[in-house]
Amino acid sequence: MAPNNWEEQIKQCFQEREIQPSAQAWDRLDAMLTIAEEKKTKRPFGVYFRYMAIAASVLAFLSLGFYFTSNLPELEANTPTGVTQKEGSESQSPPAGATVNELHKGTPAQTETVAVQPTKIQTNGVNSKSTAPPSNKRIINQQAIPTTESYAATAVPAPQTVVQIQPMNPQNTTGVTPKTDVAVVQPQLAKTNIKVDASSLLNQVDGELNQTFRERMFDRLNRNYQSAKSALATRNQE
Amino acid sequence: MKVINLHNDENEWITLALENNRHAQLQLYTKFAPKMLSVCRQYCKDLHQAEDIMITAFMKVFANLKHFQHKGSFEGWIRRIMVNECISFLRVQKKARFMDDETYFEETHNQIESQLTLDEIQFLIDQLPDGYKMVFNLYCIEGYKHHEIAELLNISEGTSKSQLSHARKMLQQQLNLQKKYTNGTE
Repeated sequence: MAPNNWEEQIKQCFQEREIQPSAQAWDRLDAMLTIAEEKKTKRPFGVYFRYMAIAASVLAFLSLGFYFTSNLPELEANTPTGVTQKEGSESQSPPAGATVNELHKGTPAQTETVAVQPTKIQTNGVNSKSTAPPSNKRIINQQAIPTTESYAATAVPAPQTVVQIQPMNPQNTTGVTPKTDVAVVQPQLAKTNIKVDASSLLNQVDGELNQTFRERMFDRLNRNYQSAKSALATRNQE
Repeated sequence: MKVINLHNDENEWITLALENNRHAQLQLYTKFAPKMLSVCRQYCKDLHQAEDIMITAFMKVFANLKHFQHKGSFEGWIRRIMVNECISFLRVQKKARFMDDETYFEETHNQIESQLTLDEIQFLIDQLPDGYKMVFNLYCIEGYKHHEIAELLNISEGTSKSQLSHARKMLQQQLNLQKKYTNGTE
């Protein structure tokens, strides 16, 4: 007797059994296949356009970022931070033998060249005549920049600045800078009552600046808005 | 006039179906759909649901036709896809639940002499719980081994044996009842 003969029989029967599917079954399968094929054919273009859109948006952001960052130095140059001024004329140069204190006290109009730095420094050549600085430039701290107009009202108090000047070497007349130690107590200076009017500074340089893209756009928008407004008003009147 | 069927070769249909030739796909469908619907019907009582499963499985067949390597029979390959689709359908429906019962009886190999028709046998199999039915179908009709069933259904081999044993016992009881009933009425 063969084991599980009944099972073998039903296995054969079931494997040979056929059930006719309904007539709509193929139609449904056909529709599903068509949809799947359409999806397949659409997909490459969809992916292509999606990647193109992403690339375009990235490029747009990069170009905008580059544009604004390239405009930034111009704006920064006009702000009080990090302003460097050249000693242009003789009239602005301090008199011979004058110390920084004397400059502050005596010649307020010439104080554009006063070097005020936030940290305690030891510099060679504070005395401009005997110690000509090599770069002929002085960096002026943002907090301590007085304009020619506003300086008179915001003079640096003298006792807050301590200048130590070593006696000049009489032999040093050949242009070699003598070692002059200047210790300026800067933190006190930074906390002085000097007030910088940023708007006046900006107004000073307004003429020198070209209009930025943003300003041009704002102007244009404003003009368009005004024209649209007037057109609307005239139409309402009519 | 004699009509010569140009695409009577199964391999040629497969090659054409790979290129989304709808006629070739229809030929393959017409050839295999009745048998595959029978396979789906073994696992699913409802014929309409079985047809749905079959259509979904045929979609997978045509989508994955490029993976058919012509090593075994094409019918066997489709059949396997159908069985997998049925199992995943029952899993989604949460009908197939297996208890970790590894106690199974030694197979008695009783000869069941039955004069039942195929529909009656199908009816008896349909009465089995889904877990028993799946293991019974896979083992007895599809010819899977226990370790294959265990892997396919994500159960232990012992559970597979236990399920088969319970299914056989239950079927035997039902057949005996049927026999008594038919003898009594005759």
